[in-house]
Amino acid sequence: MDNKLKAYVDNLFKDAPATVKAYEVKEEILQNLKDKYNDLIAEGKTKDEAYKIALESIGDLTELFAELEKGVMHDDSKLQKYLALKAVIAMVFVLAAVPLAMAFSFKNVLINVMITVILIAIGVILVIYNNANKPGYTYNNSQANRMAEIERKKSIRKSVSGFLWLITLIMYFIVSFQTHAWHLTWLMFLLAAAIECILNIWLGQAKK
Amino acid sequence: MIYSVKGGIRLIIASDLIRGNTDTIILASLMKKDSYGYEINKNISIKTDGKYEFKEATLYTAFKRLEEAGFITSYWGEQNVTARRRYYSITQKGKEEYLRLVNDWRNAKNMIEKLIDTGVIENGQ
Repeated sequence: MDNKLKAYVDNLFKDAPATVKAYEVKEEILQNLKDKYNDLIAEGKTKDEAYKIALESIGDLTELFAELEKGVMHDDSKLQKYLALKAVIAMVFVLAAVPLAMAFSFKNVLINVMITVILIAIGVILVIYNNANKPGYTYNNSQANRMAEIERKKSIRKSVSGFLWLITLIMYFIVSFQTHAWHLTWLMFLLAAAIECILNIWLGQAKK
Repeated sequence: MIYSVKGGIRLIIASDLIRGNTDTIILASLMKKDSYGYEINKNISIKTDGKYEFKEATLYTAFKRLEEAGFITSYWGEQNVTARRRYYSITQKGKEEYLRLVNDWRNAKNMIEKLIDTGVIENGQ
């Protein structure tokens, strides 16, 4: 009888939104129906009567589905706005790099180049980070998907890290050859290491 | 909303009135302790001598709405392996909402009583 109830409820939830929430509600309702069915049998109802009464207690699910759907759309639109905002911030860094550096117009060309490179670097890192956090579907949280997600984030983190060190190396040579302050410029690598630590914490992947 | 059809049309009217107070009734049943869907509904059935019970659809639509509004929270209980139950718990905000809703109901009840009272019934007509 449990299977019969399950098949019936599964069929009713065919039109429900495909979310974890909806799935959980289905499981809860199914459990309630099983409890009800067992109680009715214990009260002395026949199997057919109990089954019929259990089904009658479900009611019209249209409103419930609408409520579940609302949650999904609500979450999505919020997420979309958030992602759009982050994309815009990243683009501003990249696009603002050259004009901003020129606006300062330091006597030393080197500083201009440095500012440009740093701003572009921040922009690129933000773009990569944004892509890393663009979710597949939030409700797809099965074990397999979660593993894939972790793998994906790991590879993204690698590319951010590689980019950071490349930029650092370029900066090191530009600055060093211009200033001849080789006794100081090596500190940039320490700075890069520190930035990488901060990035890891920021990306939430300090631990492997 | 009617579980048995014995009461006919009278029960349908009563059931519409009760449905209008679904949120209040659910919040009320969570005031004392956390509970799960079937238990809440069963207690309602007992309290009304088996005359009333929420449909699953009504109950869960209300749960989702109340959860969204921050009046209740829920968590999976772990007492049983075969029957996994989700427990609902009232929040501080929910308790305040409950008091407000009860107050609303009392006011409405008093008003309706004044409005429909013609003295006919008391005079034994």
